[in-house]
Amino acid sequence: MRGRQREQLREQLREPGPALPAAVGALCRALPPRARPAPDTLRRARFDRPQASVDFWRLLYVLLKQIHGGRWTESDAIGAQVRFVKSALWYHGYGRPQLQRLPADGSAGSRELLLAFSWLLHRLRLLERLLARNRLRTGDEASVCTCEDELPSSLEGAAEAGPEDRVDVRYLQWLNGRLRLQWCSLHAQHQEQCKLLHKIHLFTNGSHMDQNLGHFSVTETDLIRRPENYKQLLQLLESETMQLEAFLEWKQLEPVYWQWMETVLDNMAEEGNICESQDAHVEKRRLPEVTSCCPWAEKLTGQMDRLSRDLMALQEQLHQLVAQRRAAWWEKHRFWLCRSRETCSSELKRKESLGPSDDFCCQE
Amino acid sequence: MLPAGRGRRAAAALRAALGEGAERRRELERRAARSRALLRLWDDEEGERPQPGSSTEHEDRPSPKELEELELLNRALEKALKIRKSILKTPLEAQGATAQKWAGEARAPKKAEELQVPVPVENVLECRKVRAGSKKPLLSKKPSPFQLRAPYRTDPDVKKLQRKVPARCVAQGPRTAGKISSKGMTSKQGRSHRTASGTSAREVCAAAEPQETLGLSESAPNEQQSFSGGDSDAGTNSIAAGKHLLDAGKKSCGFLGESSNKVDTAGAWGRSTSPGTGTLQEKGSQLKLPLPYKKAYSKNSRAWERCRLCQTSADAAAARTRFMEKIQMTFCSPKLTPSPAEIEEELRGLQDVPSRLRQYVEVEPADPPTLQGEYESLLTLEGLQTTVSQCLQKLQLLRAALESQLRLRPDCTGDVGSCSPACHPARGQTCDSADMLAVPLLCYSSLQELRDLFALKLQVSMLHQEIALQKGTITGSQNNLSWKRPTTSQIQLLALHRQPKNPTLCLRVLSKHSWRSGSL
Repeated sequence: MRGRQREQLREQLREPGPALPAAVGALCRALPPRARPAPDTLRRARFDRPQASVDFWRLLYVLLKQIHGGRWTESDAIGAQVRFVKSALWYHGYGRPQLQRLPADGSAGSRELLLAFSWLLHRLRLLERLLARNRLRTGDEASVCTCEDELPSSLEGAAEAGPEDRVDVRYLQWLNGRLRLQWCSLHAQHQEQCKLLHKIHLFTNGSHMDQNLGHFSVTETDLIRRPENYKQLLQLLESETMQLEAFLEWKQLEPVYWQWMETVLDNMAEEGNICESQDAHVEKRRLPEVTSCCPWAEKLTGQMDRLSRDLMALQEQLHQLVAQRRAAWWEKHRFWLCRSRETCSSELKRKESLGPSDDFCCQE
Repeated sequence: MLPAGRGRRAAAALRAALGEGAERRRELERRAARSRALLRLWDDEEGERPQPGSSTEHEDRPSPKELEELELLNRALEKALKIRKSILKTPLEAQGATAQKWAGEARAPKKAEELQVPVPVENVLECRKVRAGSKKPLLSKKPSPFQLRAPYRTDPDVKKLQRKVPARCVAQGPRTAGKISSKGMTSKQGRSHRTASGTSAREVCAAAEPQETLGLSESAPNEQQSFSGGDSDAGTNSIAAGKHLLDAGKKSCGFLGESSNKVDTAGAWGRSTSPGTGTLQEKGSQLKLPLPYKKAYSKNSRAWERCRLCQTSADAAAARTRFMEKIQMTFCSPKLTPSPAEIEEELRGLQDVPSRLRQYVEVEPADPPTLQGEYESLLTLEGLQTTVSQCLQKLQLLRAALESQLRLRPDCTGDVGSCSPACHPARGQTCDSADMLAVPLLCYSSLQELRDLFALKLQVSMLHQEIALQKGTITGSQNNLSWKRPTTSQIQLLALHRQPKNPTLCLRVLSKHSWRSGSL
């Protein structure tokens, strides 16, 4: 009871509890090896130390690049990193204006970046996504993805200026033929690979210690044959296991981290309240016009235009069709309806003349 | 000649596609080599065998020899068509003419097709002599392609040439037609165009010819003889050329089939050698993984399982929500507008709606027979109308959202391309499944299933590429290139597969003797 009260008191005083370093440490270890910050970086960022800014920009840069499947190198300039991170955060819907105002040389703003990092952590499910993406592949895998992730940009954007002015259509036909031949060859290759795979699976059936799997994959079979080639695989496997265990630890300590982040936000709100409200008005007036130089936006707008054209054409077509059908319907059945009405009314008259005994009519 | 810009773009796009394909082939070859090595003698230290890779992959232009052969073929074809025309003009030999005509037409589209039909071609020759007293006006009749007439006596049997077929390159591919055959001329299409006019046949022929020449250059050199010889009778020549093309088709098929035969021989080695030497086949079920790996592996898989089952505690969820809400309040637009990522995602979902709706409209009968049918049809159409207007509304909202988001866009002066992460949209983000940490197992029970899986995947990639090429380059030049537009069923395949929205999960392919659905 005492301990609990002390805990609560500490929280109110906004001092981190003993669990926080453990939480932060677990978080850092759960991130992929190439994007692993030191726990100190996060602590320094909490106090908005400028020294942590560059590291934090880099951290976000690497993480976002991994998410987006892009390439990056150690030597990418800080300016490019900053631009990329800002753009990526905008893309995912992070709307804090203070972040966009941070200097482009990465010299300040570690606390803002800490907030952004935490936001991404939840919004993009950063840890899970990166774990899944970087998962070590020891088995034979096949994806059933039918998305267009085949780098269509290389095909659509191809606008090289060839040496000749005009292109003979037979040349194009020849290229087309070669392309088809290539697909045929790929098909044959794939079929062969299937056969090989099947054989390996068949022959090694019953050997795997994991009963669910039952047989070895190509990698594992090769591992048995030439174990010396696979030392690195073993190391990677072990480091991945450690990362997973860190993830589990993090899940236990998560509440502490989020509470801490809340306090950071509250602090910032208090500090920034006075000056921010003034900046905000200025900011809004400065809003730039929709830039036309963004290829992504153009692509999207193009898609929207096409879609709306198609839909409107379809709407027109349906409108006509429905009107037509409705008219035909009435035309066809009007006679019948009128007749039945007449019959009904004549029946009524007849009955009235006879007597009010039966009224089976007019039961539509 | 195509207009300059379009032609260049098309050529560049095709070249890029060829480059990608070459890359894939290399990757595949690497993997296959690895697997092959495992199936050989276990202690076999010998290096990789030289690959029968096509050396023509890297050329951007056909070689002079190929151009020569192409010229010869073109000439032969022209001669054949001339003969056909001249014969058509003489009505006296109407029946004889028809024989020639069918023969001529048969020659034209046949090339990429059958493997086992030199026989009917020869019989075309025969029929000119036999001239069965068939009084049927062959021109007006459209014999069913499935009909097999009395053995090779009458002309229309020439239609047998249009049998269904995987493209000639696939020696041992799956029997299910229409997989890669759709790439060339499908059987269905072939049949429907069987009575096509000479011009379209010519186009088709011309398109396939470059394919032929490649095949020819790869095959043995005895083909040279057929070209130089037999020029006396243009008809015979073209028949010879035709026959030769079929043979070439067979050869190149055999050629490409060689690589797949290699596996069988490897297996055969295994079977024939004495027990002591050891191949995977013999030792496979007794193999054991090395102990360190075993330990690491089981630790790893247990950790994955625990992570997968791990839930967020209630405290954590509450604390997290509080933080997220607070930070959301500090955003420029505190209320939830779709983020650019979400806009893109929604748009992607709407992309194939028009085509699907159009299919539904087309399916509705024009004149339903019964009262009930009419009424239902009308209701359906009205329902579709509602759907369309809902989609349009959604599109409006997305447009507005995009505009408001673009206003908040960070200034990206300079290299817009490199800084925009939207250029590489987050893979796996759009395919967001609840259980990211699960890796489903795909269990298959026969080799055929595995083959079908890969064949279909390849077909999907191929169709994507075709669509991208068509989008990127053209409209008018499509006919010249005779690209086959994906048929309805193929589009449905695409759309159908897109729906589940969990496509980037990787599967483990296993072999089990009983089919297990796994945790897909």
